[in-house]
Amino acid sequence: MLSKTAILVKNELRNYFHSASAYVVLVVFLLITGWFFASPLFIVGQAELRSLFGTIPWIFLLFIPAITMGSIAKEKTAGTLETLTTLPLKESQIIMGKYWAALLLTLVGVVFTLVHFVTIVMLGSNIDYGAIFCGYLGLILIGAVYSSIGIFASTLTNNQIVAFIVSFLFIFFFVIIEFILIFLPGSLVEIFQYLSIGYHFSNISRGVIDSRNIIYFLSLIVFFLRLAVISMETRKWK
Amino acid sequence: MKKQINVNNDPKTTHLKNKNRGERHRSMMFNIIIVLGILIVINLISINIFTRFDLSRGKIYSLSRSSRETVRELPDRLLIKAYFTKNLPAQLADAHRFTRDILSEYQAYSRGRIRFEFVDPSDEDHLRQEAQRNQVMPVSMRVVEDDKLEIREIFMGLVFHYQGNTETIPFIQNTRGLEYDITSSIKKITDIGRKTVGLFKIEEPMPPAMPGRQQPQTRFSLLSDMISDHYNLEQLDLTEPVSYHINTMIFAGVKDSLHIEQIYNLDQYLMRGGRLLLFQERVDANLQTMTANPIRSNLFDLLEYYGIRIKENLVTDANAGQIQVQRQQGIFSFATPVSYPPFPVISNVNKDHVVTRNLENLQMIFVSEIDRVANPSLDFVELLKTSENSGEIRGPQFDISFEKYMQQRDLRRMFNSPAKIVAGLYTGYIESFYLDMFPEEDDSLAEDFYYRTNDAKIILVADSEFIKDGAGAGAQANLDFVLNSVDYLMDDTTLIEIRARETVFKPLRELSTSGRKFVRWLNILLPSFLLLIFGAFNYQKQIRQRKLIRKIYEQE
Repeated sequence: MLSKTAILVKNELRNYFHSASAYVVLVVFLLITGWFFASPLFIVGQAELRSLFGTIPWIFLLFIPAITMGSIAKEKTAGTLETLTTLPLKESQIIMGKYWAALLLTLVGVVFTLVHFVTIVMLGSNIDYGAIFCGYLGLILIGAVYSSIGIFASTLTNNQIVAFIVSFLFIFFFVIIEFILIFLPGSLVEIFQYLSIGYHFSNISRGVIDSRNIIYFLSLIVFFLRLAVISMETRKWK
Repeated sequence: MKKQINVNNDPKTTHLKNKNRGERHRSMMFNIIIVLGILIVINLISINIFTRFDLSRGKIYSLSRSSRETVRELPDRLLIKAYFTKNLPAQLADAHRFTRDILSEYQAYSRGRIRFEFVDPSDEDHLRQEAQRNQVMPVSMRVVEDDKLEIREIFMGLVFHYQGNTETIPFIQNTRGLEYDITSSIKKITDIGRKTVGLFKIEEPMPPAMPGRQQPQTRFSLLSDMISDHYNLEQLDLTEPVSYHINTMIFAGVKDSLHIEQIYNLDQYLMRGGRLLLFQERVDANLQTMTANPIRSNLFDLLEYYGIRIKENLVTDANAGQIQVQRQQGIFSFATPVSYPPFPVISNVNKDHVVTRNLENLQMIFVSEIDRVANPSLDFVELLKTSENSGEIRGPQFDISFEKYMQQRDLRRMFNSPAKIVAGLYTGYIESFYLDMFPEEDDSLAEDFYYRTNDAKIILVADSEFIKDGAGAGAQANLDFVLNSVDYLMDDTTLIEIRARETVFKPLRELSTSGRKFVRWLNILLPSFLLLIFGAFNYQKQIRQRKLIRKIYEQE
């Protein structure tokens, strides 16, 4: 028997794939990743997916907020959130249902990029399968973090555009830290470097799984999902 | 008449509501702070207690123990500035990427002490000057760009800044041994774990300089430069006891006897556990004068006492290096390269030993043969041997003339002796050469005298030209052998492994221009196309379900 969260996830995914908007977002995502993978493929001339793993986190920056912006905000606008909350579901189950659905939709996008993997397997030699496995693992973790931020942003407002902008800004903060390190005083570099998503992703994407990186990603996921649950609970006070 | 009470405006209820809301706010903030606090603590613990799994091919990102310890012990911040030209061609781009990756590994183990940044000095004058000031010079390379061969100036260097000092790796051509170079540079600049190697040498006059080339001041400049890059190098003359901070000595050969105190100090150095890399042949041969004479030295008495014996011969091998021989034809004189068997090229290396595993084509110059060990308490491992087509030149004449080799089409016919050992490792128990002079019963005679050692480690190469400029040191494999041997004697065997480590080039198959275009467009469009097929199936399924539901309703 499916758990309540699983039922919600299934329902959410059915809604996603019964509407054209999910396909539009996914097609745009796949065209952009395909373009960024294929354009330098023969210039770099290497049988690896590092360019893909370098590009997708940037595309996720727009793609995941676009997926998650409606998760809660849309329900609020349509008034269906009230119906949802009258069901025997806890806030945390609603959030987890929405979260897993958004993450699974993201993963569907990632799964279709396996076409690029097949390409390099067919055209290349000496392929580093360990590094590719880790690269995909890194993408899943990044997708999971961005989705948790997106869901949290969606709980803050009734307006989907505002939810999109808020989640974009939160994610952008964690992404951009890596590039402002040179402007920071030496004593702060270490802290901000640790906060940067790119720093942790770079390890995994080259084939090294470090417990620190995994704990960092899991911490962000737990923190933002907890914030999302708390944000949902505050609705009852109004 | 019922009295309508407006709950919202009731001051008591409003007060109660506000109070509740305040409490909830406090509880919410407390909840957030608790979660945040727990996560921060977990992350702080994970920074100090962590584990890493390197799943990359060949585990190229697993830093050696030596590298990890070096960066872990850094007491101050170290900045590594990488001057790298962007958009490098495939093979150089691999070095670029690997440099970035391996620096990230150093950073990961440095507990925040190491920071690195990449800059491209190609288009910015101030960065160009900065790079050149730090000894990172541009290198002109032929690269294929847009199917055209072009010459580009490329920067690929690393500069290490630490406490006002700088150290440079001027050019990273490939990834082989990069970790070794970086760790050595960090050790050099920080002086962490940097060990000292002693060099005992007797300088001889240099052979005449090649036309247009500068005459080096010493015959050991290549050896000294290489050792200095990785270790502190101290010259020794053995007239004084060898300092205790030196535990590996390179002994660069003698042509004569040593003073008695030099022999004594060498013996005592070995007895106190000092390691020795010895280059010594038994016959002094000179190609210019075409003479060869046995070396008479008390060093051989010392070595034979330990159980180490070098035969009084010169080894020849069909697999040999070449010499230039002047030939006269009419009024013209020209140089012809001739294979010269007293210069064996060694490819028969011990593949099971860490010192020689990754080596080939070592160049020997008038090498003698090593006799197998006679001392049963001393273990012997063969490291380098000549080929199975070997021979020897014996005394008393030691005929080293080349004429007899010039007429031979196939040198293998001339040499049918089995392989001869030219380098080996001795380990185990040896007693002092001066044991009889200092009876153990009488302590007053020898307060600082070492009688014996159980831990002797001596690598012998029966050729002192092996490490000299203008001779064997010109071959990179010879210098690699020396460095491997020193690392081994220093017990830094992991360093030998990482020197040979490199990334694997992963080239794509060559395709025609139209083939490339097809693959490009296929990769851009196929994922979306597959998704749309999935969407179409899903839509069909949806329609079927709707029809089914409609049918059920109609039946009802």
